[in-house]
Amino acid sequence: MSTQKNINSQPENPINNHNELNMHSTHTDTTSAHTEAKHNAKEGNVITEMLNDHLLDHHGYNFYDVFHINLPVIIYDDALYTYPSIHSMEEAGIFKEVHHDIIRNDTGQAPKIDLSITALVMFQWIAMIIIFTSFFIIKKRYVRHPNKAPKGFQNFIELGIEMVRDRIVKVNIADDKLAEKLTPYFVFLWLFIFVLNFLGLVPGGHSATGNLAVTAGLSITAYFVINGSAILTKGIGHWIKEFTGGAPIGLWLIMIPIEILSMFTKPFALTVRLFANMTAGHVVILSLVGLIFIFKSFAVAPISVGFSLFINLLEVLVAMIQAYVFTMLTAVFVGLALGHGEEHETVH
Amino acid sequence: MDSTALAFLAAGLGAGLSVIGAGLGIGKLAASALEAAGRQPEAAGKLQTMMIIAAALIEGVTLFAEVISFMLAMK
Amino acid sequence: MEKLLTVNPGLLFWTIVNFLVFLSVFILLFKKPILDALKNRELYITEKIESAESKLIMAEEKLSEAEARITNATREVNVMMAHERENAADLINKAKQEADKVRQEKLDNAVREIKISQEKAFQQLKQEIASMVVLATEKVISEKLTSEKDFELINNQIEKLSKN
Repeated sequence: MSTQKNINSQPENPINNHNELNMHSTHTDTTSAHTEAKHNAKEGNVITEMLNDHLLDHHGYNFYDVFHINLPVIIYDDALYTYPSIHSMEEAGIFKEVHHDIIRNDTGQAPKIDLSITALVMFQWIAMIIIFTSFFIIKKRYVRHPNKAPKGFQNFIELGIEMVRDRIVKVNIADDKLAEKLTPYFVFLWLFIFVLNFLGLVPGGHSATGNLAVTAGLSITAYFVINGSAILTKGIGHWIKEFTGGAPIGLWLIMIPIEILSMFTKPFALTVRLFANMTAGHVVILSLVGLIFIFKSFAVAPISVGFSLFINLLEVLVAMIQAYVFTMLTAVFVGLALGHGEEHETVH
Repeated sequence: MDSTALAFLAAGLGAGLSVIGAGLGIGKLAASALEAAGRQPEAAGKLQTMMIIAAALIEGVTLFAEVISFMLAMK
Repeated sequence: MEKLLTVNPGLLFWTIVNFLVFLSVFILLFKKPILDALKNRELYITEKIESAESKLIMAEEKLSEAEARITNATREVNVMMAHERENAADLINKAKQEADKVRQEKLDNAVREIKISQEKAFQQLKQEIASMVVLATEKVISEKLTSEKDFELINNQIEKLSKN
């Protein structure tokens, strides 16, 4: 890994950069713009490079080569190593970065645990800052005029909060007390996913929800909320009884494995759904833009740009729907974990 | 055709086939939901919510297939 | 690109930590001032609507009550007016009759008094004449020697009488 990344600061976006490079030479001269390409196995494959850039997580954030934010690297291998940036890590000489992977110089192995603050962690913080500042802005009015009609920006936030509370939580969770308790969780879950999704549509942004680790993290917390709320409100006995699915004893042999499996497939499906939805749009847009490089012609550009604009608009829709769907399905699963026995009793 | 080419072929075909399935499923779902909403316009809000849940479940299965196709293409 | 489908444990860890920390901060900072405020406002509004509705019902009740009272009152007033009118006519009649009676009585009284006083005067006259006759007779008897004297006497008496 060369240290040229920071020195270079061309004020053009990488797409234009690649385009220019491709037009003038068949062999991409990537030393100036993207040093990673040097280490890429498929050298000159700008599309893979571009996909890597946009879809994967990185140590440090690079905004169109205009500015670069160094993020701390935290590695645990035989001891805890911390560096303020990826460059200082390379200068220290114990680890090096190859294809976005950190490996040990002496053994050539990846470290045991890489707890670095990556670009996507930074984007989660940005999302948090956006959410908290917008809430601080509207907080004043609630304190000063608690019983007055909402105004301006307050309307916008209130719309979201009430949508989550009335159309997601209260509808799906029959237990009113529990619904009341879980409302802040669902409101924040929705806001968090919503803002993360939209950060991916901002130029230069990455959607953190387009990464399996992030969606898995959200699903793991959702898993604990689903089962935890069932155990806490109905008791552990009821929770275990739920594995029979209310079926007669003869069917238990089939029902119990299915129910146990479904307990894990639910969050898994949530994980993959959000990840795939958020990634798919980016992949399609990048593939459409990639057509320009494949055909090496300007004539393709209008079509590509037109289609990618359309997909981008579609992604705005998808970003909203997926935030809604993730929250909605979590609420549905909480409701299912609670309500099965009750329904069964009322039927008889 | 070597195995890599076959994998790419399988990935493309698999992605397309799973999209056919999802398209049929969501199409039928939307058709029935619209019909139901037409018969009972006052229940349209509830139907929409249920439709989105069902669509998300169908889509989820399709996305599993798409991810598998993606894995094949990335090999 | 294979990395797209692998889960980075470090990122997973940070995501969970971030989410939990942000969620707890969110609950700590905004649950009470915003989520609860929203709920309280809703309660406040529903309460207000309910109280307004109950007030509306009360007002309507009062309105109908008042209307009933007004109709009652007008009916009563009409009845009373008719009654009073009759009374007034009666009173006027009575007053007229009484006045007539009083006039008649007074007239009768006057007539009677006149009669009585006439009779008194008559009787007085009679008595006086009788006494005069007695006196005259006495004088005539005591002084019958002379007829001149008689005449004188009589004339004196008459003079007296006329003087009286």
